[in-house]
Amino acid sequence: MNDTCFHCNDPIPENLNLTVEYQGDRKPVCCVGCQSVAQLILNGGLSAYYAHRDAPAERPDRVADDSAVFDDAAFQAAFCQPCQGSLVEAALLVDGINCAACAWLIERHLGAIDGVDQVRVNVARKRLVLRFNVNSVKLSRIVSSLSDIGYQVSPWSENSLEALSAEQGKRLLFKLGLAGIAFLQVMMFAVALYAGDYSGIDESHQSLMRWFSLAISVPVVLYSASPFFIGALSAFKARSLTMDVPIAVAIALAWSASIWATVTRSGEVYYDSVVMFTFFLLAGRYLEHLALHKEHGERGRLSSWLPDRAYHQARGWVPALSIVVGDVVRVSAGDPFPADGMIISGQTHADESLLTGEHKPIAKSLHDEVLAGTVNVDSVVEVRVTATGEQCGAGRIHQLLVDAMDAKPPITQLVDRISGWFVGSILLIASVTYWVWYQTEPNHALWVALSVLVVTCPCALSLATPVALTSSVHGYRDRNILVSNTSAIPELGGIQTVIFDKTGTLTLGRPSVVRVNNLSAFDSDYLFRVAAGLEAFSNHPIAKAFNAASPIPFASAEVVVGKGVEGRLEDDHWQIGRPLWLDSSSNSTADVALARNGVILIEYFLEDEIRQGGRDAIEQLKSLGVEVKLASGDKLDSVTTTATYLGIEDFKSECTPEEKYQWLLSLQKMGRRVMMVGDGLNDVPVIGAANVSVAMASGAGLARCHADVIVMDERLDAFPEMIRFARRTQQKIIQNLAWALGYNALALPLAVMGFVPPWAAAIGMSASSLVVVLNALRLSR
Amino acid sequence: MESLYLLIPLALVIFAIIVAALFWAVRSGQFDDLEREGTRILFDDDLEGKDDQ
Repeated sequence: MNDTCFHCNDPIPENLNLTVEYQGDRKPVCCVGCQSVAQLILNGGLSAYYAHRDAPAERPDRVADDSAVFDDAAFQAAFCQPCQGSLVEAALLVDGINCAACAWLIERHLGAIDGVDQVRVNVARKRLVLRFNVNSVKLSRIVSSLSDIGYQVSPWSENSLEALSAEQGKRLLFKLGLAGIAFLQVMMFAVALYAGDYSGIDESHQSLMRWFSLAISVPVVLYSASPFFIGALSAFKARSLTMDVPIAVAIALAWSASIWATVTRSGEVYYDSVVMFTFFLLAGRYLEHLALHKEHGERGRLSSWLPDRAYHQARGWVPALSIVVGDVVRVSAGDPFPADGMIISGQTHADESLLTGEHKPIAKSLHDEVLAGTVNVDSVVEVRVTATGEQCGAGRIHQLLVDAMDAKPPITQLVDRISGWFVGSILLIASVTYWVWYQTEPNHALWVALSVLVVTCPCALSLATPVALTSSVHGYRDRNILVSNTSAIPELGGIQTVIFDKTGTLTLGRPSVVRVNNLSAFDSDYLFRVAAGLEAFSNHPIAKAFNAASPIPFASAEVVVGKGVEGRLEDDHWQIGRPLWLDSSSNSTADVALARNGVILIEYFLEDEIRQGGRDAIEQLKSLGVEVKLASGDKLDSVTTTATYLGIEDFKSECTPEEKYQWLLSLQKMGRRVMMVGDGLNDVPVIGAANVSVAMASGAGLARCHADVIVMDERLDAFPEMIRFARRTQQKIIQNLAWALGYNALALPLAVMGFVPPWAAAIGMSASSLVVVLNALRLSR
Repeated sequence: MESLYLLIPLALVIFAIIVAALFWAVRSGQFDDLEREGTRILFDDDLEGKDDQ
């Protein structure tokens, strides 16, 4: 019996017996949501999804069905485009796409809907482009059928950085392809020419092949190799020496010497070396670009932390961007506020954990201020907007963070430091070589100098670090750790101190029942199921603590704002909520109680539970030689309990974001490299200033968006693991650098002495780079 | 060996055609999602197997 969910791989709660039938077996699932999604997929004949996926699905959360917005014309305008006739093309961002199997599932599932003309899913960008007939199907119907199989969508908004990098990628790919095709073609002529050198060749034939090699190399040098020339030029302007300089010099020299030889029908041609060199270099560039592009995509997606739509009092659903100060918006229970504002009708509770990390909702009544991104918990309110976008409270914190990031010392890599003088010495050695050879054998001087330039091309050296980092990012991904900033990896290995936030990081960030006090003759288990049945009607965070396998169903129940939930079951009147509401004479200290006909039957004590494996993870961190500290905005006693339980000696309670920030700075001033783990928006400034910042996947959007590392499955033992893996990556980088430098040290004297022809130099250069790449790739498995 | 004067220019023409084809393929997004296309064949096989039953 495996104890993880068939659909989403989450652990299965105890005493839960939900299953789906798959290939004749009964497979366990973790919740009703997963069960219905899996059932739908299997019944639809789409079971191949489970056979071929290589990442588990995301757990479908129960969300309010708000797909109706998608039919609003003003809302559609932002992401839909009419194409021919009544066909409309919509671009959507789909949450939860993890692998190619998801894409297949979505294409099949939507393709079966009448009126859907074409469905295309891009896995890497989580983008769905769909063409449908407006007369036969509504977009809301498509959206809700996606939600049925567990995917949530939002309008696609092109992230400009991502669009730019996609455009660059296309251009780079074309340059690479062009160089590759030309490489093959020039090689054909080169073989004939080399053979001709040995066995004799008619001079007119030799000239013919040289001219055609020249013709083919023209687009390669002028177009494909242009990034190197541009790079070298800007390096000259900035009066610095980059890797591009010797590359550009080598290409330009070899090419012009070859043209001279072709025109004057004398000397040697190096078209093959020029084109091959360009091709191999571009291949490296392209691989680097692929890794970077992925990173841009992830960042863009994580930054969407404000709702994308709002319900305008007069105009109905509108894109959140179109809201201005003074507008009145209506916010339903369970929705986030789209902007800062003041309540002008209704009263509710707001969950401001995004900003404060405090998960207990705060009462909001007339004229109270609500903040963008926080969640309206229990009833509909109307809000007059006072600030939008960057002006709102969360936006200001964002600004704080940007400032903190600017102040962060840049991570300088070993290669950057040494590449300057390395390149300088290459150029110097090549010129000296040319001069010495020119004195003795003038007609060999040029190709020897070229060989020196090519063979010592610091490609392997420049690849050593980035390739190892990229490959390490993939290794992290397999461990369910998302690294959004590759330069954090070398830092991770050298971390000396870890500061944890408490709520949502060490703890689950939501209350759960830790103790019950049964005052009645009823079975506690039965009462818990009644409580779960009632709480199913509430959006309140406390309701999540009552998640029973089979709740007693209530036909109807009513949420009493700020108090609790009440409903009728047969002839009895049941209530769940604060003890004082149930019985005004109660002096119970419990957080929640359940009452029947006004008599309290059972009391529940709630606490924010510590994540599993916490103690072990802290132990492992200490054994790695890392100090563990705890900084929390919570009260002293609750922080003390957590810290003692986990074995953390150094902790601070009731910290403001400013105090956390100061603590971090003082540690850094003592010369310690600090990793900060946090999840609330209040942690964001600290996250910006830490050497490495880590957020949990469920943390506040802004915290995730700016964290260097995100723990996707929220395990605490991911922390020692990520530090160990970073140390392995560092070893790999040192190996690679040693290899690259060793190769250059060996090849250089040979080339200077004239033992290496240019084509062999190009092969040697590529082989050395290949060794570095292959060595680095071992990290990703 | 006179044929070389025909064949080599011909090779150049073919080279140009291939480069044009590559240009079209990159522009039209043929290389946008390499992950997805690699596995497409697996799924369609399975689906046909299912229809046969």
